[in-house]
Amino acid sequence: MARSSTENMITLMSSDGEEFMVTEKVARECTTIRNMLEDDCVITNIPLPNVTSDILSMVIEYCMEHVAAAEKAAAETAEKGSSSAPAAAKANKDLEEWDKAFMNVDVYTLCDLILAANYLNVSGLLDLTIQTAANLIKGKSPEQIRKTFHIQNDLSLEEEEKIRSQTPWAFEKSE
Amino acid sequence: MSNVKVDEALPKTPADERDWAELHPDILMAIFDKLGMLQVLLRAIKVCRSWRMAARDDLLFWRKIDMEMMDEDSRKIPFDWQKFKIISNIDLENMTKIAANWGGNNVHHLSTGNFCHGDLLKYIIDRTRNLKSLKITARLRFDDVAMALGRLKQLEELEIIQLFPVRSGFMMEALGSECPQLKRLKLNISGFFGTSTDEGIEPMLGIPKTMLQLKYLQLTGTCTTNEELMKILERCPNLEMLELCGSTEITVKDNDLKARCPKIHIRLLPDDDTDDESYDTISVGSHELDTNDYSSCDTDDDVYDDFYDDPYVDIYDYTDFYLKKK
Repeated sequence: MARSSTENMITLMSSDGEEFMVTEKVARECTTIRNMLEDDCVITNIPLPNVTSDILSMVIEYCMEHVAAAEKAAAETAEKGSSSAPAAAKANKDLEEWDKAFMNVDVYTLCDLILAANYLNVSGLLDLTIQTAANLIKGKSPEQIRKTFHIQNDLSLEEEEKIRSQTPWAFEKSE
Repeated sequence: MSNVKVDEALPKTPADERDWAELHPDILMAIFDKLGMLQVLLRAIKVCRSWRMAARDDLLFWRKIDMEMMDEDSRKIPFDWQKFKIISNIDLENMTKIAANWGGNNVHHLSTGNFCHGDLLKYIIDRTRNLKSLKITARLRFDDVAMALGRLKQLEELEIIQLFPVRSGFMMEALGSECPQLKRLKLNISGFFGTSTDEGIEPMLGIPKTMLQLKYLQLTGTCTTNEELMKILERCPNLEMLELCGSTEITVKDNDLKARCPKIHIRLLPDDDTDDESYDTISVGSHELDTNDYSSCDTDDDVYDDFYDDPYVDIYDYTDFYLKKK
């Protein structure tokens, strides 16, 4: 899609010093960055000490895809006067498919993406990653969940039984 | 233009720096919110200490305890009427107790599951004294419910669906005296039976003392008579909305209503169709209504069969019960 050559470019710098140049529109998908830009509109270089380059590149990839989808939908609406429902539905489905493929990552990457989405405040990505994590938990036994997420079981048997042994309810006769 | 590409060659952070057990509780709770209470109780809190503590210490999470199994794992939990228990290998009772213990006085909304029995209800209520809204879907005995309500002085909203048949005349009376703060009340007691006396059918719901706070009342099933309803309304002068679902016996006169409850509006809803979205399509204003058009109540035969199928029913002296005729 053709972009105006005058569009502001922002440089995002990852914790390991890599620089990513993105359009302001893409950067604004991150609410944290949008707030910085609104506080100081001449800012062009933003260090992100909490995000590594591989994760930052993924976050940017996500934002670009979603910005492009939104622009495409807006362009179609402008062209036809109103958006056609089937086309919009297909576009949504395509984006969902893209999201789904994008979430085909290991649990460590998923964890990093959650942290980055949370830190940068990318609500769509945070929702997507959180949902993905929830889906990984659903239907699994606690042991399978530990295995999936590489978690040690640090609950003592005592703790596991604690709730069961709580003061039993003494039956009270109704007055 | 952007120069960004996913670079597969970039070195990854060592795996051990990223620990799912050490996620910030806020993030864990965002995940647990997606999972829902049942999945959290069933799975997440058994994974590790930090997950368990995150769930336990989150006051908002337990504000609403919904044991109605809003979950694809167990949307329909079959009920064994012979043994009078739900057929499930999930320890729902224990899970409910955990939720009540952790939620404590922060629990504001509670929906009991259909597995709830009197002792469990008491256990929950004893720990969650600040309940503002309570929905009882289980087939509890009225004595148990009345005792629970007696402890919930803050209760503002109550929904009761299909208790065991009880001796008539108690329901509204008890509610009026036990729950002075009640603002919204839904009673779905289509299985109720009036008692026959020499003078005819006794009042079925009973007449409350006064329910000054009551703004909204929904009655489902043929659970009251016209005369009784008017008496009930007399004691609820601030009622703003009355909804009658599947009532065949009620003929409401606008003037009668306005004399008792100046602010009242009334809606008639078809039986068993009390989902929120159905309200608008069939709502009517406060006009004189002939409810004979709304005769889609459960057939009384079904109610009758149900009654005698109940294994607990013999604890009542059911010779007293009068099978209400249409």
